[in-house]
Amino acid sequence: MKISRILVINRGEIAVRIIRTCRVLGIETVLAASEADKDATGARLADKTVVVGPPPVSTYLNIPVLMKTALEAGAQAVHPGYGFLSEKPELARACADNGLIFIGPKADHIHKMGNKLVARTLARECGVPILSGSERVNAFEDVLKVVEQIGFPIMLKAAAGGGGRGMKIITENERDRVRPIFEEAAAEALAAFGDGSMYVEKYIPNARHVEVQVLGDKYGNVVHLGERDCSTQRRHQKLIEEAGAPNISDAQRSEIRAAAVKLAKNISYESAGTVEFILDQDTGKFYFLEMNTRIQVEHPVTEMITGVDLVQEQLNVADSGALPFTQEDIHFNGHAIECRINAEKPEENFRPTPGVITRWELPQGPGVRVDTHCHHGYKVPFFYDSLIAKLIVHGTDREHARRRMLAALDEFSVEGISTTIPFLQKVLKTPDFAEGRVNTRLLEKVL
Amino acid sequence: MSNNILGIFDGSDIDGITALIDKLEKSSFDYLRLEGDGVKIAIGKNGVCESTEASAAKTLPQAAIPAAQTWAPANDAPAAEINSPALGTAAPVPAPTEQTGTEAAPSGAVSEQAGIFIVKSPSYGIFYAQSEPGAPAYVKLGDTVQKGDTLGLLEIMKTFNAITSEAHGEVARIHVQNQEVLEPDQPLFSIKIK
Repeated sequence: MKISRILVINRGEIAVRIIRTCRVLGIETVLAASEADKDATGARLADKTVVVGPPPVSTYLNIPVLMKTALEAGAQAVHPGYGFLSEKPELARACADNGLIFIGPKADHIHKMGNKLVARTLARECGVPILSGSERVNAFEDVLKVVEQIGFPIMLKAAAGGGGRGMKIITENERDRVRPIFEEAAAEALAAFGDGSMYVEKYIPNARHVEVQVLGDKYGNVVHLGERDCSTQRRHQKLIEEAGAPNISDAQRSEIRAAAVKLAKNISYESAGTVEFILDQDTGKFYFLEMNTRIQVEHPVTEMITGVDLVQEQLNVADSGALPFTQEDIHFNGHAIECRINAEKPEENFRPTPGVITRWELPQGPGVRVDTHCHHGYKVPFFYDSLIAKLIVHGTDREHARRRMLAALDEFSVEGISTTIPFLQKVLKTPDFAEGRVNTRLLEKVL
Repeated sequence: MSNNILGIFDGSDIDGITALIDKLEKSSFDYLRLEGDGVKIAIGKNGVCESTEASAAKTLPQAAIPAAQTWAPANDAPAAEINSPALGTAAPVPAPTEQTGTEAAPSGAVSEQAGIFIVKSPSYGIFYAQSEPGAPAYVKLGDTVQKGDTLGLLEIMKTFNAITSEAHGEVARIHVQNQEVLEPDQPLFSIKIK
C-alpha cells in the first residue's frame, strides 16, 4: 500500500472507527480535531492529534486549514468520515490539487449525486425505477401541473437537499395551500443549502427505507454487500438500522440489490457508497431515492453480516487497489441491528443533554460491538450532534439479534447525562418492531 | 506595510476593503458580504458578524418557523431544526435592590430590578441574534416585544431553539453578542416591563 499515513478530518465515533482500521493495517493516523474534541477517544488512539481550530462546526469545514494540516503532517491521504465535508466535491478537488489522495469517490460522482435531480436522471437512464415526479419546478403553478399528472399526495423536495430540510408533503386537502407551502419549502432549502431548487415526487405514505451498500474500484468492479433497513426514524433521522431488511421477498431483495449495482456500475463508481430506495408497502415496488457517496453511520450492520471491513476497502480502493473479492465471494451470515445512542432526554421532547459522563460501562459478550468516542469523565460537547455511541449486535437471525440488543442495552450504563437508551428499549419491545413490521411511521405510534 | 499581506491581498485590495468598512460604518446596514472568484469578504457591525465562514449559512436555519417543532438528533445530516417552545428561562421580578438606574452591570453581574425582566440562557449553547448571516437581528435596543416574541436563537447539538420573551416590554439592555457561547442562567436581555 502506498498510503502509510492519513489525516482524519472528522470527529466522534467515526474518527475512532477509521483510526481502528488504520491501526490494524499499520497506517499511521493524524487526527485533525477541534479544541472541544482533543479529549475524545479518537485523539487518544491516533498517532498524533493536531488541534486545527476552535470548537464550532466550522473547524471541520475549513478546507485550506485541513489541507495545510495534511501536508505539514506528511499524510498522503485524507479520510473525511461522514457529514461535514464528506460529500463536498470541493474537498475531493482540493485533495487532488494538493497531491493528496481523497479516501472516497471521484469529485464528479460526489457532485452529480449531491444534486438529487441529476441523481434521479442518472438512475432513470440506467433503468433504475424512480418515483413519478418532475424536473425542477420554479413556481407553484409548475407544482400544480405536475399534480394534474400524478395526483396527490406529493412530496416537495430540495434538489440540494438532505436531512428533511425543504421537504414538504402536500395532500389533497391542502390543494389551496400549494403556493405558500411551495414558497416556504423553497425558502427553507435556500436557507439550509444555499440553493432553492425544488422538485416534486409522488409521496408514498406507507413506506420503508431500504438501502444497498455498494463498493466499487477503479477497474470497473462493483459488488453489493446486501441491503439495510433504516425505516425506524424520527423526524427523518435514523435511530435503528438492520441488515438485512426484514419481511421482503427474495425476489424484491435480488431486484433492489441488482438495481443498486447497475447504477454504481453505470457511473463507474469507486469507493464505498449507498444507494437508497423507498419501498412502497402497498404495492411492493421500490424506487430510487438518492445515493450517498461516503461511509454511512449505519455501515457496521453490513460489516457484521458480511465480515467485510468497509473502511479497509475504502483505503484499498483509494490506494488504487482492486476489490479483493467478487460478488460470489460475499456471503451473508445472520442478522445485525444497530441502535444509535444519543445524548438526549426522550421524555422532554428529545432535548439534547450535553455534559460530563460520570459513569460509562459498555455492554460486552458474543456478537456485541460498540463504536464510540466517549469514555468515563468525557465531556459531551454541545457544539456537535448528540450521537454518543452506536451499539451493534449480531444474531443468528433477527429475533436473536433483537434479544441480544435488548440485553446489551440493559447492560449499557451511562450516568451524568440522559440518553435515548430507555426509548430504544421501548421501540425494540413493540410488537411491530419485534415482528419486523418496520415502517417510516413506526415511531409515531411509540411516541 | 507589505504589499501582499498573508499572501492573499495586495495593497490595493487592502485600500478597497478599508473603503468598504468605512462605507458600511456610515451606512444604515449592519452587514456586508461580497463573493467573487475564490474570495469572500464579510464585514459586520453592531454585533452582526459571520465568523464561521460559509458554514454558518449552511447550519443556520431559516428564521422563525412558527409551528412547534421538536428536538431532533442530526447525526450525519447537515439538517438543523428550530424549536419554538419558549426555552428562554426568565427570572421572576425580584424585590428592588440597592442598585439604581436602568443600566445593568457588566456581563456576569446583571442585577435584577423591579420592573425589569431578565431573560436568561436556559443552557449551554451558541447564541444567534439573527436568523441567518446578513438578516436583521431579531430585536434591537428600544424595540417593544410581546410575550412569546423571538429574541434570538440558541444552538445546542445542532438543534436550534427560539429564545423567547416571557414579558411584554421594551428591550432595555442586550447582554450578549451574536455567536457568543452561553452558559446556563447567563443574562441575555433586560426587558423593561410595560
